[in-house]
Amino acid sequence: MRRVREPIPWPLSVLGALGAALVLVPLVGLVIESPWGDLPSLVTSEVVLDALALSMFSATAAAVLSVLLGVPLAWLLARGAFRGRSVLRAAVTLPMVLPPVVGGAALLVALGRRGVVGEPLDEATGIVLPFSIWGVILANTFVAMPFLVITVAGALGSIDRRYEAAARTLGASSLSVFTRVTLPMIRPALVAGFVLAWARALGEFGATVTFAGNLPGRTQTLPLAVFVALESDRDAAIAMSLVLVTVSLVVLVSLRDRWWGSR
Amino acid sequence: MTEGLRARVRVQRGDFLLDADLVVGAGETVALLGPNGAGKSTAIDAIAGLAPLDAGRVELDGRVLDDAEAGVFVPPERRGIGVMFQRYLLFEHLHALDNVAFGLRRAGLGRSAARAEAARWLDRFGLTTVAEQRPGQLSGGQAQRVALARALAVEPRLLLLDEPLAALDVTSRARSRRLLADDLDGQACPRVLITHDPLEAVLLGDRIVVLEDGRVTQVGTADDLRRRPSTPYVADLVGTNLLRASISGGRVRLLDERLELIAADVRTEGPVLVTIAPSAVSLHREEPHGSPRNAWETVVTGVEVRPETVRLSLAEPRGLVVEVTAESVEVLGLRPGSAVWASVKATEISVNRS
Repeated sequence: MRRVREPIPWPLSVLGALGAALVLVPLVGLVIESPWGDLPSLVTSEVVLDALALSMFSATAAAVLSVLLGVPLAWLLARGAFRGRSVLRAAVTLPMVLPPVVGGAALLVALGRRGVVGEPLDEATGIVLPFSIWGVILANTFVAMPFLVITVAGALGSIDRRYEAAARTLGASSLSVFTRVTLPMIRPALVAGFVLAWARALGEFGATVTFAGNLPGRTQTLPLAVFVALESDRDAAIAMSLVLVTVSLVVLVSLRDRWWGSR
Repeated sequence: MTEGLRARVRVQRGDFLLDADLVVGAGETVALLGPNGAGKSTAIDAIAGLAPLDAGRVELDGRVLDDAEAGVFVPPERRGIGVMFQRYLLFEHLHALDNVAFGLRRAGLGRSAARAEAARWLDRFGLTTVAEQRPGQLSGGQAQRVALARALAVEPRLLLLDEPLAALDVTSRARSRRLLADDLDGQACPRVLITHDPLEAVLLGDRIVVLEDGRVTQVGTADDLRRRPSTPYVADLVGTNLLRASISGGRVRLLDERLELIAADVRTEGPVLVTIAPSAVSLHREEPHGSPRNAWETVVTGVEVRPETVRLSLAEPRGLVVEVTAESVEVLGLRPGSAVWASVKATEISVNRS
């Protein structure tokens, strides 16, 4: 078959190229400026390894927590029949729009040592959330879960519910319809939502620093460590940034088919 | 205790009202026949418990499953009603064997026991070779039989089949229909088969219930429908002519037509339905002489060539279908617009009170 190249309108190519440059130039700069010789020692320093481990752990924990709580929440939003559902739907997605610092402040007011929930929690159980790793996970979940919720709720709203009806006529209770039929059907959305939430949690800065602080080895995640290092040790900051870019790239590449569709 | 299904189904969907009675005896197959949009699938949903009744009652083997007035509603998973859906709805994430085992697992069987039982069903249906295949890899006919095995494996008290062959292509439909007849033959549970295909209804149903626009318009055997169709839809399905008429003084006056006919057996007065088999009408180039007392001149409006015969429609009575051989079409030189004399013997006109 003969193929004729479709002409690209020139304003689209110029603006599109500018858009690509906006994304690529800073990344290329990061690579050029990297202190390649010192990279191994910089990346394996205790501060970086601690921050990397903390980032990986807290992002994964937040993504898992987002699935555990977010999938049922998405189900309620997509299927539940109760008053105020549309208000709840808007409220749940608010953290996606809210400046993360505001989210962190809200968490502090509610769950801080003197907070409305935090104080009774401290008195009853001795658990103090802020300025601990649990605080990091909580702040991460706060900003990341909405990404999973809207992805999963969208899938729940669009699947063919006749399959669930078929399962019921085969004797499946509503809970086993959910676990045996609905969940397998929304699996692609679940995976995409998990990765989105994980990626959002990995890059989390504002809510974390506000609610959990910036304690090296305890609550200092990689983005916080980068920010601190920019003031004192520029090479270390670039090295850590490079680590974050690499981790993000690996995730993106491994999921590119899911994301962009297989074409 | 009455065995089988007794249902009075009333469901309102916007402007559409389904109001139908359905009785299915033990071991019986009832074909629910009707055009698209007649409410057949709504009836299935109501009986299976996938849509609650607005009024009425569903009773299976003496057990009340839904009673709008009494506030009884048994959810679908506890009704013991198997459904084979039109699109089969096999679970894509499970292979054929686990699709069949699905209901058995939910009934409390362990994984290996459920699989062994499911394997027996696949074996019975000659599907052992596709046990490990996903629904997407099955042919239409295989998917249909896996869906049937899945519905039957839980030993339902009633089986509902929603257009079981509609999703198949024409070439495999006849074979699948024979297989389905065989598969259903050995089953004890009563069955409701939904279809818009009169052939399916006749071949698979012991009794036919005709549903039109949410109402049951006729109940009977295939023979009853053929002999005494009660609506134009049924008449059209069984390939005969149904005309509305009124009788006064022994003469049959067709409504909306100038034509009067003479029927041999007229013992009634008032509004009637007249049935004339398409093959009972003869066509002539000139006014016929001899025995037929009913003869009139009209025009051919349509010609449809079939494998064995040719079906013509006439201008008067409007749309009357006549079946003749290809030779007579040629001899008489018939084509749309041809003038023609039609005649029918008085003994070929069947009159039923409407």
